[in-house]
Amino acid sequence: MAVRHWVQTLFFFLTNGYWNFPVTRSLYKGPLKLVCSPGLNCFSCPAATTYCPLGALQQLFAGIRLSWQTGQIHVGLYVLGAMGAMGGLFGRMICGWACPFGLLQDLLHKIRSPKFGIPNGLRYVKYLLLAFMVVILPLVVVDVSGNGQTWFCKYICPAGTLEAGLPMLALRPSLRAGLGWIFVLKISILVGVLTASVFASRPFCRVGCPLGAFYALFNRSRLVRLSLDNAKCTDCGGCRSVCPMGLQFNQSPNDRECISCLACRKHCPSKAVGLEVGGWKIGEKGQGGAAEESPRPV
Amino acid sequence: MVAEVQPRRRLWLPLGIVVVSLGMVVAGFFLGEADRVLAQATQICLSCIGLGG
Repeated sequence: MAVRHWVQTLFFFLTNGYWNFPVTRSLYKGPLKLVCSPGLNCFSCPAATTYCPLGALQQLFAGIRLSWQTGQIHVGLYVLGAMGAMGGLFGRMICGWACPFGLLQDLLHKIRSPKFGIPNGLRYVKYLLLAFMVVILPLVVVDVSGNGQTWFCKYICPAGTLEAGLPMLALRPSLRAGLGWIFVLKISILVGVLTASVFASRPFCRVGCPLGAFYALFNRSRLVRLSLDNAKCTDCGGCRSVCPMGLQFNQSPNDRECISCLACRKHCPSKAVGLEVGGWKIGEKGQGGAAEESPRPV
Repeated sequence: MVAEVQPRRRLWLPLGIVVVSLGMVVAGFFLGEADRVLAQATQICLSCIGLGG
């Protein structure tokens, strides 16, 4: 198994480390829930030990008017800061290395089947979902008491349906009485995403994940990033053939869609793809600071 | 020029983002947002499960 899959598995267990839930039939309620999960991992998953940044952010936005009415100023700094710190460090590398839902899509894509690409224009859907379902609608659409809704969690999030919905309904049969068309919608989206993952690589990451869209904003100004040595690149197109996000690295290094899985680095015949931290290449002998490189301006 | 500017941008810009972000985390903590996140994250989110409708 590749190193990346080990790391993905490690993060899965780090963010889902409460395995006493079949006994307690409840969520983990300890202090680790103050820690932000780097990837999409629902905090209502009975095994979750961390909070989901998207869910927490929506809840803070949805309750922002109520917090002001009570004299508190809760504008989401705690969650946005945690997301920004991870974005500034790793950008979408988190999607490739630390997201449990990304791991699931990777595993499903290993099933033998015809494989298809995803139209490039669909990548912008996730930015719309981030803007409207995560930020604008929870802030703007409120009930008479001033309370909003977590729109993305409620109507779309397939990770929540899989990690929280199905296990909690199994653990607490009394919850089943409240099921309605929203559950049917969410199950349909989940089945659609899981099925699509067999035939296309990471369809949810590429099309529908608002967390990926947020981290994508940092992809070109993050500390840990990939670099291209133009002197070595022969433009063979090999990086495109192995990229799970359908990118050609040498055409657009550190593209907003790049999850830095390092498949291009591993398969590049001319070793033109490097990994750097703060401008300094790592993992290559004879490479000094970034000033010695001839990077392509991104 | 590019070789001089790029390393600075590649180090200080992301470092600045990280520092500002960590400052936001600390500010949010002292504003009481952490308690609120903890309170919400330790309750079953009915929206996440898909109840209603």
